[in-house]
Order: sequence, then C-alpha cells, then structure tokens
Amino acid sequence: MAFLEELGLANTIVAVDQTAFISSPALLRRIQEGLVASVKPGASLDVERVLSMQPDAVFYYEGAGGEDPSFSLLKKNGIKLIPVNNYKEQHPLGRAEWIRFVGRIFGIASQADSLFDAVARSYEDQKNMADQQPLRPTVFCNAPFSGVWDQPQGGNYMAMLIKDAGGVYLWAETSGSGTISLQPEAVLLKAQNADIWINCNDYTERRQLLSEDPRLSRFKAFSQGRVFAANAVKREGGANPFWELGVVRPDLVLHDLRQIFSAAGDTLSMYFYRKLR
Amino acid sequence: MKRKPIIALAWLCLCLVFGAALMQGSGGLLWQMEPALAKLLLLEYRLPAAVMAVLAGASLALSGLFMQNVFRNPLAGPFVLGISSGASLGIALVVLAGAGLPFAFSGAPIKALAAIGGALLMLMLNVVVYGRLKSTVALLIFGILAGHFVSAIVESLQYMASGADIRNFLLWGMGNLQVAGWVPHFMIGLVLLASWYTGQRVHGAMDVYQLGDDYARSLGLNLNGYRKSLMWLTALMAGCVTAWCGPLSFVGLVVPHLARMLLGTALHRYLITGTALLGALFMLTAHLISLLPLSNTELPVNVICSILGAPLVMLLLLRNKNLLLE
Repeated sequence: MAFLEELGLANTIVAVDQTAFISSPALLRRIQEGLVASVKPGASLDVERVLSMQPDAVFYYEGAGGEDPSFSLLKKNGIKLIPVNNYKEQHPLGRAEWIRFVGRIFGIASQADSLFDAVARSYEDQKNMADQQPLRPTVFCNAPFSGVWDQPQGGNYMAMLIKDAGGVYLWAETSGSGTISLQPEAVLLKAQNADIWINCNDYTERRQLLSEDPRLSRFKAFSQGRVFAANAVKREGGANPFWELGVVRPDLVLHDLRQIFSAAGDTLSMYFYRKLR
Repeated sequence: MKRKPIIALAWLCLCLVFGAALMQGSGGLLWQMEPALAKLLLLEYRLPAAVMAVLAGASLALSGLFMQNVFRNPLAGPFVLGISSGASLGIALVVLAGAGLPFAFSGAPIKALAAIGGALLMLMLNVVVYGRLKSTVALLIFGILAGHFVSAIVESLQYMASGADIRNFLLWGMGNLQVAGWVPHFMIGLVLLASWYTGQRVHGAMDVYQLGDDYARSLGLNLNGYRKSLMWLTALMAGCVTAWCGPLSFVGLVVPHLARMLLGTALHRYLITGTALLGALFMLTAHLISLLPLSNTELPVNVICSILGAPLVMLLLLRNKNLLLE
C-alpha cells in the first residue's frame, strides 16, 4: 500500500487486509469516507466480499504456508493475483526497489524508477554521512517478552540499517536474515555495556520497561537514557508508519538511526523514532 | 523401600538440581565468569528462575493432588476445572484484544491480574455449578465444557489478532520460569504455604473422603465445605502459577501418581509433602534440561514438561492397569 501511495495511486485501493493496521493519511481518509474495506478480518480472506468488489488485481505477500486456498476462486473470476515479496529482501534498498515492479504494473515505470533512484541516492548520502561520523556505538534491539528476547540476525535488513547508519550491531556475525530468539541472560551478557538500545516499539517510557522487568535497568543504554522506539507516530489501533512508509523510504529510517548513533544527533527531527522518556 | 530414605533422596536430588540450575545458563558456567557478572546473573536471573521452578512445580503438583482427591479421579489435574482456560482468556484479552491500548492497560501487572481474574472467574462458576448440582461428575463435565467454551473465545481473538500479538500469546503458552522481580515468587509462595498448611490440617479428611461420600459423611465431614476449600486453594495455586509462568502441563497430573508410587502409600499425611517435593523436583529438572542445549536459545519449559510428563503417564498406565478404575 505504501508503494501505491508513494506513486500517487492511493485512490486505486478499494480494500486492505485490516483497516486497523493502516497508518497512511491518504488511505485513512479513504477509509473514513467508506471507500476502502477490510477483507481479511482474520486469518482467511473474505472471498465473497472481494468477488463482490470486482477488483482488477489483488496484491499479496507469499507466506511460508503457500498460496491461500481461496486464491483459485479469485483466479477463476478473472482477478489477477500479484505477489509482492519485498519482505524477503535482505537489504533495505532491495525492499524499497519493489516500487519499480509496482510502477510497471500500473504503466508508470519511469516515475517509479525516478522515485526509487531518489530514495537510493538519499540512502547513499545518509550512509556517506554516517561513514564520516567518528563514533561507532554498539547497538542491540527489541525488548524481552515471556522470557524470550529476539534479536535480528546478521543478514536481517535491520542489521544492515544499523551498519549503514554507523552502528556496530552486536549480533552482526550471526547468519540468516530472520531473528534469533535468546534468553534475557544471553542478551545481558552481550549487551550490558552496549551504547544504544533501539526498537522497543511497544513502549513510550523507560519506566514501562522497568515495570515489565526491573533487571533491564542493568543495561548501560537504559541507565544513560539511550533507549529508542520506532513509534513516534502510532495510531490508536497500533498502526505504525514505520512498517509502511519505512519500507518504501529506508533513507528516512537511516536518517533517524544516524541521528541516534551520532552523539550530537538531533533526535527531535526524526521521522519514525523517538527517545523513550 | 521406606519412606524416609525416599524423601531424603528427593531432597538431595532437589538440592543438586537446584545447584546445577544456578551454575548453568545460556551465558555459560558461573565459575568461568568475572565475579561481578557472575553475582549479577546468579542473583537476578538464575536464582529467581530456579526458585520459581520450585514454587510452580510444588504448587501445580499439590493442586493436582487436591483435584484427584476431590473428584476421586486419577486423571484429574489442576486445570480440569477450566482454570487454565480462564487464565488464558485473561491473557488473551490483554495481549490479543488489548493490542494498541495504552501501556497502563497492557503491562505485565495487568496481564498477571487478568490471568488471575480469569482463573478466579472460572472458579466462581465452578462453585456456583457445584452449589446447584452437588455432583463432582457434573462439575467435571462443566469444567471441561467451560474450558472448550473459553478456548473458542481465545481462538476467535487469535484469529483476528496481528501476527506479532499471536506470537506473544504463543510465547506465553510455551511457559516461562524467567519471571523478573520477587513479588510473583512471594505471592505464589504464600498461596503454596497456605495450601500445604491446610492440606496438613485436613490430611485425615482427605483419606476418609477417598472412601466415599456416605462413609465420609458418617464420620462428620462437611463435604460441601471440604470440596469448596480444596477447589479454592487449587484455583489460587494454579491461577497464580499460570498468570506468571503460563499453562505448565502434566506436572499436576503425573506427580501425585509418582508420589503414591515412590512413597508406596495413599495416606495424605505423607503424600502432601511428598507430592510438593516431587513437583518441585520435576519442574526444576525440566528447567535444567531446558537450559542444557549448548546455544543461547532455551527450549520452552512447557515442551520439556510434556516430553517428561507424557511418557510417565503412559508408563503409569502400563504398570498399573487399574489406574483408570481407581
């Protein structure tokens, strides 16, 4: 959806999985006007609703479970099914480059190419600025839940973003592009003296983290107040532009991380991130 | 084999496994670390987890013993009243339906309160049903049906939740002994102590009750009050443990049988302490095994409980074909 909005095609969207997870202002307006419906309120697609809307195409992610069994019915009724698997890309720019694919489907390839080129240039500029920063802070991610603390693996796009923003990611040497589930003890051992802690996205204040687990105060990043969350803008239902616009504009995410990793960074001008109070 | 050496051996094993659980962890062996770090890991991570394993195991095993006694059913466990389902509903409402709510309505204390509230709600329903029907069989059926009903609500919430929220809920369901802070330990410990003490006070009544309602009534036992007391204690123990540690399976079902078999008695005077002790040993062993894989990740403790518990139940059934007829 973020690709379509970036290409100025938000008005072509007639339905989404769940409107509660939408953060785009243009799409929210259309939802309020009743022009966009929810067609996947649970785990399955509401095929009848989709058929009644007669869309030209359905964009979808190919999950590990294979194709949705309801898709054959859509195909029989002449609806085109177009997979957009940008989430499988390991590099942030690779994920954003899928805008070219979407642009070609709508016959606006050159516009899509120029948009992506601008994002790629901006990303490279941010990366070059990060390269010139003298500081190389150590970084770790996420927060524990029910005795498990996930960290992105070394090939994950988040690990790439941290590296390109001038940070030293503590689990960069791990192989794979998913996440690794760790015990809190293992994270403490490695990250106790790390400089920066990012992606505590369920929290807005440090005391909330402490109420979940008082031992988190043992982390240097916590005691020095260098804990950040990618939830500067978050809708009531939990929708967060970090997961939409952030995919199309990794240069903006990189900008935020570069600000965070730089000692003189201006954290007030960030797009997605904020410092936990 | 006499009871005292068995109890002494169980205590010795408990101490050894407890010590091993303190020494071993995903961070490595304690004596290979710097003293300051070793102290931090020991006092704030490994000790709370090991103590929680002892408390949770003892609580669930004791509540299993109580339920097997109340229902006179060897396959009854602490969750037969739908208590686990009630706690799951509380957690599901916070984690799945409460996604996007302000933190004040979704933090750890709220989750614990919701789980305990769900467990107590199910208990209240059980007490009301028992008050009307006066039948343990009806109560057993009601508990199972209520459990299914609540599970259907939880599944509906899962169906509509986001992937991240579903994952968080599944993680809770896999069990967790790494509970931070000492407040949960204190609360579970307090309920366990009260239950153990009550059990010691009524062990004679528990033995008499096993011989049938008529016989127990003829000896002056207030059946209604007796059953309600044990049900309340069971719900409190199982509800508190489930709230913080997730729905830990098999301990309540299998450990009372192990205690009967090892101690060679059906007298509750011995079974109450023996069951609590073996429950603590069972859960602590499961915790230690979950720490053993030589990586930073830990196998969910509930998986270990099932791997240890299911074969034990099968073995018990094979060894004692009359178990289901008791």
